[in-house]
Amino acid sequence: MIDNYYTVLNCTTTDHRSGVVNVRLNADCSIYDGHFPGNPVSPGVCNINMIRECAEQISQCKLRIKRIKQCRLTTLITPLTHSQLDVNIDLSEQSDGSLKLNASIGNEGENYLSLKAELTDE
Amino acid sequence: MIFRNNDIYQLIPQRPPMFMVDVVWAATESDADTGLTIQENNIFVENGLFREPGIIEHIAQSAAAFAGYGTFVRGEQPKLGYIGEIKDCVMHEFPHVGDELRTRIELVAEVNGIRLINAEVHVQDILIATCQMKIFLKDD
Repeated sequence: MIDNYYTVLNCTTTDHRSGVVNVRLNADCSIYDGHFPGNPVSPGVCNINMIRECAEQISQCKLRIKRIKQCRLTTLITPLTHSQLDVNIDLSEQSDGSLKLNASIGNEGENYLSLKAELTDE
Repeated sequence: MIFRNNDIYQLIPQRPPMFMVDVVWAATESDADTGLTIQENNIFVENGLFREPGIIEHIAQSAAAFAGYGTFVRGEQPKLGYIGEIKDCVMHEFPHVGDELRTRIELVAEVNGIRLINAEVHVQDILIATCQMKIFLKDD
């Protein structure tokens, strides 16, 4: 959706339900012109969207977020200080047909963002 | 006092293409009413629909504009605000290009620069999203 926000370096999954996507944030993305001028900070909402897109890549389905149960953003992520990130995805099917998502963004054992959400097939 | 478009630069530090509130209708100590008309070139529009990150960012910036209204009244510069936590955010519908979002923000609590808010986003009578958010305001 957002042009050039990140580049996928590697994607590992065995079952199309859980996996890890290694990404690089692109500091020259135009979003940083406005967030914030002269002080690039990766928007939390763009990182949540990146998780959704990584879940699509893992599951091979187009997904939409129906509900965010909880999302904690514990570390300020910038493309300069955190250029490489691991996006950890764990999906499980619910009885109503929706997908439960447990996801996190981190690097080298540190956790920067955690997300619990309900997704549906588009 | 109604703030529109560039007037809102006095309330929040975000700028295009990451500028997701185009009107602040009213604000008090405890609540605010804001809005956004979805333009076709909005970075969060995909296939004519305003998607999840756009809705959440609109809520976050509405909360920031609400906080910024208070600092503006006191003659201070707007502070950088960061989303600390999102809870129970339900997205019922994706708005279409041309839709006018109308958003109500209520302050639930404020402790040590952390503001807990509730948000409700509508397009006319249609409920788009409800959300609870913790926003951290950074002191310079």
